[in-house]
Amino acid sequence: MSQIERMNRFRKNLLKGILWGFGIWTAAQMIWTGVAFNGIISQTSYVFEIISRFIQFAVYASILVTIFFSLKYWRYKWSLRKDPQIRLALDDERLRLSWFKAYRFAFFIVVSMYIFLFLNDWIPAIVFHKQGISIPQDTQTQLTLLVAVLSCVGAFLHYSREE
Amino acid sequence: MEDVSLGNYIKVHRARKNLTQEELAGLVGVTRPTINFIENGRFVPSTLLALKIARIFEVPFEEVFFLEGM
Repeated sequence: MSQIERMNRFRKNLLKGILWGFGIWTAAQMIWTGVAFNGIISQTSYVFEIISRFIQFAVYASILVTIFFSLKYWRYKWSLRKDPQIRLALDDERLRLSWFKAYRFAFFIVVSMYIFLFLNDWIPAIVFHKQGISIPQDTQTQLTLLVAVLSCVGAFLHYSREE
Repeated sequence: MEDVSLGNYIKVHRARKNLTQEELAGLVGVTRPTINFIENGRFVPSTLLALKIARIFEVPFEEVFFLEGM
């Protein structure tokens, strides 16, 4: 296997690692914040305590996975500086197009998410005279990050997937 | 305007030259999946890359690429 091929596969696996690590980390944290904020499970209950610990463990584990893969990705990028030919080959026109399509997809997904959040604030209040799903401000920021990273990296992996 | 796409004979020329997709990719400076995408008509290469591929096969451009659906 040539070095270009090896590096290409390595990058793909790293991006998958970042996708899963970041996805689990942010999703777990966000869902749990939502559960606590909306009082779905009483914060003084035993169940809340147990699930809290489990979620905490999942978050720390996925943070470690994300850091591990991010560092490997950074090392991979750094190693490419020494070899401009391989760097150019690994950033060929098809991959640049795939990244462009992925950024475009992520942009529209984030805009759609904001439209949903906006409608969630207004529609229930106007039509049903009650509050929509309550989402804390911190969670909205996390949600934006989650949706942007997952849709961008996921779309890139999808567009560059072979049949 | 008619719906046209870029067809190619890369597979034929690769076989003639006894080259794998990976070897051809290395020679023109792209990743192997890119050659696979071009071969299967899923990606239209730039003029520069198409000319590089034709040069590797030592044939004129039109012998490797052609317009489909015209």
